[in-house]
Amino acid sequence: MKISMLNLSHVSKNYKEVSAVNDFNFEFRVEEGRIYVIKGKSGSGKSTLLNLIGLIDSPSSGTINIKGVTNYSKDIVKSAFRRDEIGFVFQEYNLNGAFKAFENIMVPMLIKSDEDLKTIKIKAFELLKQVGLEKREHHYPNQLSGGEKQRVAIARALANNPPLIIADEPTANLDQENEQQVLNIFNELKKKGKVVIVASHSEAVWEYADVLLTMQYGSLVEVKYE
Amino acid sequence: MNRFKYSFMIKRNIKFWKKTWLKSCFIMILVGFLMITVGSLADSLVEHANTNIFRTPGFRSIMVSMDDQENWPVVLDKLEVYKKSNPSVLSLKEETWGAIVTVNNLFDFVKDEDIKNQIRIGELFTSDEYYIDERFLLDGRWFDEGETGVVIIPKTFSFNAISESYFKLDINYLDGSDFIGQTFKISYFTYKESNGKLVPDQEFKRDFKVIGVYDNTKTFSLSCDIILKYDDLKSMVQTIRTGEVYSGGSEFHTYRMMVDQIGNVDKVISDIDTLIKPYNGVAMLKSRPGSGFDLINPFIKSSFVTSLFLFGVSMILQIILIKQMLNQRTREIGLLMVFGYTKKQVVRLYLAEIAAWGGLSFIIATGMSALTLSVIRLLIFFKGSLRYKNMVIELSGNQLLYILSVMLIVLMVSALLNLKRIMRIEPKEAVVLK
Repeated sequence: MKISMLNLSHVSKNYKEVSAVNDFNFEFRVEEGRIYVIKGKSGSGKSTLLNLIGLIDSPSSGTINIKGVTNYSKDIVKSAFRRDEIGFVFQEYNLNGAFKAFENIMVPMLIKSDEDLKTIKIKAFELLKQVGLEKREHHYPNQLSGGEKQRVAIARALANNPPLIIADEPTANLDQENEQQVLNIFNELKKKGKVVIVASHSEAVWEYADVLLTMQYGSLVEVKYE
Repeated sequence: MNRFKYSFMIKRNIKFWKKTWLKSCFIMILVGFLMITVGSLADSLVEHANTNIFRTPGFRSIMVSMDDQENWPVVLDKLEVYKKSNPSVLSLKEETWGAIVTVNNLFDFVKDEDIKNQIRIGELFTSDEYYIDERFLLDGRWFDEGETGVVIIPKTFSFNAISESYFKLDINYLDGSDFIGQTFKISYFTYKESNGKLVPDQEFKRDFKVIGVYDNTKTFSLSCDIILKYDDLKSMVQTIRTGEVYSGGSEFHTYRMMVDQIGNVDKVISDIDTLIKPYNGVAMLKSRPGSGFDLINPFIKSSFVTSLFLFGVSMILQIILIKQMLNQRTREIGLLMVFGYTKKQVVRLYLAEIAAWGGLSFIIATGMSALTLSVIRLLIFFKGSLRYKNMVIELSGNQLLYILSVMLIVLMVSALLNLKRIMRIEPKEAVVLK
């Protein structure tokens, strides 16, 4: 059963005496296409929140309920649970320089897909086409521009057809034109029924939000439905 | 994830990280090469010693000595009884010691005056036929059963060069083969003490026909012994009673016991020791293999120590290099975990990559060793002593297995130690590392 709902209840994340996320309560609906944007200044807890939502970090207190799962525990972070249902897009792209563009997209599919290499390769080419990079398949990351790298990263995030995409400052290192391209892709994903949760301090990104969450000092201070 | 998918990942990583891996490989190849070569040489030497050198009669000959006049007949009787009861003992004969002779007519056969002027011919030492065997024969023929009055001489024929050969590299020699068929007129002497020195006293003359030459060249110590039949040498020694003279006048009895194979020598020595201990006798191996062979045992021991040392150094260097390499790939490892790779899968991936490099290094090291051993084999064949000419020098299967295991252990331990450390990093921290 795929993720259909992500409910954070009194979730806090503390690093020693500092509270990066403080008593966060919110339910992210994943069953229909939507863009959630988390805004806030640097240090407001956006990235920490995304790590918690993406199940690559565990809360210090509170619970994260994922519909379709009876239990959630700290071990989930280490056990790669549900990772194929969540696609990550990082600010720094995090592409593997040893792999060509299409090969970077193949990597998540290798672990989860039972299909053979040839089929996976074809799927990777299709994903690159979706993000407008069908002519850059055989290029290595160091041969791509920042915008192209980020689009490859988005294609990689879509590798296992996850219902949920998490993007941490995806346009921070991009110029306006490339930022627009990325946002257009997010919009297309939303139309296809996917949920995108983006953390960003860029106003251009806020404009695409269906739900705008404002973080301040680790706390959720405002929720705005567009 | 099946092996094709693993292979897909590994191939690309190997290509991308080859500069880093080459450093590690260099160490593995060097260490592997040294260990395989040295280990194979050690194995070859041990095998050669056990199957060839120790078959030589000199190394199977035990001397039993005592100066107790009263009890000597008792001891001799015990030795005879022991010989009859032990099939390993082939013979029991009185020791001959060897005599020092001069060849009086040597220059009759040397026509070239220049050579006569260059060559020093003086005293020569004699040994009996149990000192070497037919494998040392280079020209002519070996002794016939019961034959007397014949001699086999060194190929490189000069004076008794024991004292000078270590230091003089330009000694001139006669070719022993030129004397085959000729009769040597030799003199041997008794000695007396004069002004604190032993000087010749009585002279005894004998004729010996030269029937063959043996290889005394390219050995670690130059020896110009001329080899006589046992009975001939014994008759000479009894005449001059060399044992009596050199032991300062005391009556010294020595017998020689020939053992069938080197493996039985220690047991026989031990048995004889037990027999003669009450009579203050001594039993010991007559022949030492020579300084060259004396190097073998310490070589084998030192090769083991060297091997351990190399293993330790290699382990330390590999841990450092692999640590550096995996540190650089921490983000990559974190990302794989973000994508859903389990720790087990990540460890398998990296161990497989490391094993691939290790395997390649092993193959290269083996190839280099094989080449080096071939060169060594050729050098020994063309330049080496007869003692080692037929030594089989080849890659040792045991050593290859041992070295491969060592390399894998070193790599796997290095990798696991570092992977374990990296995997403790949370994926979220790993992916933001620069």
